[in-house]
Amino acid sequence: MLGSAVRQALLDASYAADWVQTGDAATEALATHDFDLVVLDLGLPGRDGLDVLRTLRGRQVTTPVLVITARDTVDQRIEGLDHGADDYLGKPFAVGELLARLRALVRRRAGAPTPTLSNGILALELATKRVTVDGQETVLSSREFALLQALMMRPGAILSRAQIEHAIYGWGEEVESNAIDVIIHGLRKKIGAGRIVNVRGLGWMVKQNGAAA
Amino acid sequence: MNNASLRKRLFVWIAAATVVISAISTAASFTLTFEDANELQDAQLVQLTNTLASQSSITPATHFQPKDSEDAETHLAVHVLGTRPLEDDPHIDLLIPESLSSGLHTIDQRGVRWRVMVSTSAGGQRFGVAQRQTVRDEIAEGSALLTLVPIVVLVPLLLLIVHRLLRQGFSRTVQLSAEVDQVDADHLSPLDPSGVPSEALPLVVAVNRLLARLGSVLEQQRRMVADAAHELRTPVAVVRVQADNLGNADLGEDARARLNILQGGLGRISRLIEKLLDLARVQGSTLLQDEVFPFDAEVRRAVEETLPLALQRGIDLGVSRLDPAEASGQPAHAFAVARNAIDNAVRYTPDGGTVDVCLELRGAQILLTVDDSGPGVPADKRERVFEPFFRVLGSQQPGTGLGLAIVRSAAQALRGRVALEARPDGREGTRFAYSQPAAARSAER
Repeated sequence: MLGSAVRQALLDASYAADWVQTGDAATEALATHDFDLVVLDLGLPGRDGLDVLRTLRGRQVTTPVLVITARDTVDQRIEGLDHGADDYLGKPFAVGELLARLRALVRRRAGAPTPTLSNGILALELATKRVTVDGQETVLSSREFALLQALMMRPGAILSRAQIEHAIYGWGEEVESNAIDVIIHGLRKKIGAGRIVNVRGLGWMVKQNGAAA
Repeated sequence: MNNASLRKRLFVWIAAATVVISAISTAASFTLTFEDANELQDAQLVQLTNTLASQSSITPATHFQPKDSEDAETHLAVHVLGTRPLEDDPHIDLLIPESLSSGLHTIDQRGVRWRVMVSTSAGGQRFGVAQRQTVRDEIAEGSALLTLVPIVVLVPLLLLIVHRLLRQGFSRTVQLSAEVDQVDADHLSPLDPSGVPSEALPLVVAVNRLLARLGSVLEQQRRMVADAAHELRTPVAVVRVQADNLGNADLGEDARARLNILQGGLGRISRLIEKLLDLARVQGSTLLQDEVFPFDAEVRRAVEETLPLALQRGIDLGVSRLDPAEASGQPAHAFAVARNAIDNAVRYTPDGGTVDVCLELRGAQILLTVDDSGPGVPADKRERVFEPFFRVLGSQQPGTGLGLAIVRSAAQALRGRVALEARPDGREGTRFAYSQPAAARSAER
């Protein structure tokens, strides 16, 4: 039931999808065909999903595997990742999230030309210091880039003033009391005021999913 | 129901029995000693008479003239039968009739009772040695009373000791009931049977068995909730994915609007399932080992995770104070408290409102408060909102009704206290207040 619905979702998103319903069929299909991605429901009839995963990894198959499961406590998540899953999605989920994670897995497998930090709107190419906002390239000063990079290391996490100062200034460097505010003011002008959110009393952050809000 | 204290009852009965028995023994001992003393005095009288009888001639009242002496021994008078003493002394004013035979007699004369020993001297003279009965009684009473002293002194001492022993014997029982009072649903630890008297031991063992049964019933209930939520996940996932797929089909504007409502409902069901699992997890994790962790880090993470919802609703979510504070317990519980409290505040605050989070280390207590600018919770509902699925009537918010129940369970696991209050600054809204002891290390700072 879930399988057919997921297959429909993948077809709608223009993926070519094959659907097998048992662990053995999955093992056999993976042995005979070359897939770009595997979506594996752990609640398979006949054979345990983790067992399928083990067999797969035992044969040196490196195809990315996204595991879907109703068991999602932290311990079970870790167990799944230990068995070679590339990502984990707990039931029930929105199709949008499934597709986003699959895209990320495909990208990771293709190998990004340079490491990039992205939250869907903002993208920072670390090697070339290229910054794009919604696809539009923007030029940032080195301080601005360093500050944005610190925030983009973990979108959604709040960094305090002290943490940001520590990230962009070296030891012993004099920091003006309003230096961070000045840099953020400049940054907001270039990338849009709403891209960096101030959280009263805690610090600043960039949104986890820039496209959503 | 008659719940008279066993200790008090025992003491009253032991005290009554002691008093009655010692009263009887006092009376008996007094009577016996009194009689003994009289007999002894008779023997002395006889001995004295025999001594006098060995003389050839008796001089009346020459011996033992008592005049000023208070010594009872001297209140003796020697009379020749049928004659009055020479001196006019009321102490020896006695005429022993000649008709009296030899031996001991008690005679009454002008209202005074005498004890008389009559004998014949070596010279054939009949005489008597007399003693007033009142004097004899005084002496007997004196020695009889002396025998009572130990009883009168020892009985109160005995009662004091009994009282002490009883209190000591029952103190462990009193302590046990205090322990039973402290047992709560999250910490069903068995009672410690050490030091319990063997008579009370079966009760302690039975209570421990009851606690174990209660624990397994609660555990079953938790597992039931968790299992039900788990089982719901797959079918709900199927419906959700299919509804999303429907959105990819060619739909009219009307159908799309209806689909949006359907998807909103499915989203809420998903959230409810997540919260049910959170609740089961928080309630079921009390067996895990406690650790010392930074409470402030969990509050910070909770603010981070609630921020997207706050931004979406245009609510100013901020932190007015965030003291570094270490707590003992499980970090996941602290996170559950902070996350659900903040989430709840944001959900029940109208768009554009304010939510203030404050974490303060006051002495050895960690205080977390979350103030919102929502409509407030009526005072009579502030306790009930912590019950699962209870919602204030009229609130239109798409909450699950489980957030504050999770908070309360997590707070119990951390041995903290939660309450909803009116805002102390008098503005419209609600204050959520949570307090728990800080870990020792944190309190020292």
